Amino acid sequence: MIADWRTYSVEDFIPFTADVYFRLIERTNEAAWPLHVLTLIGGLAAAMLLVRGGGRTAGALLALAWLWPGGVFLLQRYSELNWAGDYFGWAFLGQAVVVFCCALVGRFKWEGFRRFGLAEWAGFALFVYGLAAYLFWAPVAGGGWAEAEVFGVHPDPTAVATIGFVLVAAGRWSGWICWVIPALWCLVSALTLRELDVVWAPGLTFAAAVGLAGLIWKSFRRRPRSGESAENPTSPEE
Amino acid sequence: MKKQTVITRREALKILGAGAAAFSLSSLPLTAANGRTLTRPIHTTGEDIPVIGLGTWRTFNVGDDRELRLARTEVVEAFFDEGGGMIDCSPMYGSADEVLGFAFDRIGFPDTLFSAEKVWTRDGDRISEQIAESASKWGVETFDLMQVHNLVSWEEHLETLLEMKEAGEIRYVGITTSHGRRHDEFERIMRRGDLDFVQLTYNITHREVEERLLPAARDEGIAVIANRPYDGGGLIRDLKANHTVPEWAVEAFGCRDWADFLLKFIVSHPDLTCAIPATTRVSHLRENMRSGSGELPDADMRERMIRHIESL
Repeated sequence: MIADWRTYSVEDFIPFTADVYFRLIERTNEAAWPLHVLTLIGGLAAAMLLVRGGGRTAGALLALAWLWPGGVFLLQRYSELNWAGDYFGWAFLGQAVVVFCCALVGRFKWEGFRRFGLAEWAGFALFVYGLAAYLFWAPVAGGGWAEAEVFGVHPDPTAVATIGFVLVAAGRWSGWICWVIPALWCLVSALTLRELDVVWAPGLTFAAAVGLAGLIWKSFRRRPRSGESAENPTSPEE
Repeated sequence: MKKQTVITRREALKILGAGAAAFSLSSLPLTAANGRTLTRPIHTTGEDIPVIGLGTWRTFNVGDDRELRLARTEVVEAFFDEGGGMIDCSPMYGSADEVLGFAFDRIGFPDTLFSAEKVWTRDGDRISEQIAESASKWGVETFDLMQVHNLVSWEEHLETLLEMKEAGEIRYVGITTSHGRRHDEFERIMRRGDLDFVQLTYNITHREVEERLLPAARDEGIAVIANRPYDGGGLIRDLKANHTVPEWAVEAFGCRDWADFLLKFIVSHPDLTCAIPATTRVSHLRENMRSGSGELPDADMRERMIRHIESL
């Protein structure tokens, strides 16, 4: 039976073609507009709130960003094309709950650029990539703005930006639990897009890997002095 | 829905000259039904079906996208316009069943339609429910052929399907595999002697089934459907992009293009009944269908074709 599984390829699990996938993106954009404006503002607001010490509200906004990609894109639309879409959709809604709970108990905090290490800078870059740069991929590749993928509307940029946010702001164990679902999605989506010959597919694998490396780095580097525990932030919300 | 049984399996085997058929292309019961389309008989009944069918994996899974559904309707319309018969689908193919239903709703049900569907569930009790769901999506009352998809729970399903065939609820019963999986088990099921069809992967680069499964189909009088004729599309894309059709193939059997080359290689095998290429484009569909007419390569030419592809 194991030998039988080895005969399967990624292609066997991708039951649609590239044109169908990008039409799905396009139709989602048509249905969601102008939600894009709100989600982008929400993402930016989350970053600004975090910097200003509002880690709880920032996390709550990030949790909200997972609702549409999970509840509408995956559960209602993607699942029509792929039976696994339901599972992905529920995982996204689960991620919204996880991020919200972490936010609620104050697990996200800003320590300032001066205290940024390699992991935080990588996270910052991923957050900017997911929130602002990702939406340019489709237009640059010739698909037009109609096929642009947007944070809070489509799964890929939402997952990438979340991994970035987690690296910047989450503590140790909260970082790991907030990383799992976005990273798994990035891998699933990277395999899908690679099969569909989409040029930006490797970026998703890279995002998941950077998240993993960053969390390992953060886990093993020297702990902060007593009273500065990453899991007991000292921002005004705490 | 379809014409009734006209000859028995034994008679069909006689017609085939089954024992002596191996690679003797001159013994092929291959006919051109309308002067254009080549057909092959289903051994158990003698009913003829065109040698080129239509697959739907990936290509017909377009969800509720009306624009793409209309585009696929054009593909189905062109398929029957070119004399097509078998359309193969599965509940595993996402919305493909519904998209076929959408197409038939617009173009009607052509007389030549040979509906081939699958059961794909591990729950033996759900089989009737799943077949009814699929029929409702297609808009048909019954299917011509019902297959157990990739041998999933085949023991339970095959028993139920054979009972349904006995009761006249389906006309033919089959099993499927792809990518060369579980061939030993597949052959054991074929040797039970109660199948009308098998579906398996066969193309010029994947010919493992020539060893055991195609001879078993010949011995047992089972019709054979070849899936993945273009190896998932990559084979023909690569050939079209990088190579030209060899002149000797043009001279030998009037080979027009790579679709002709690859599909005629498949359907010229004496134990093959039908190949089911899938496509999203009408132009490609017409290319495919043209391969179901005209001359076919003989055994020597088939060997040369294999050597040529291996040399590229």
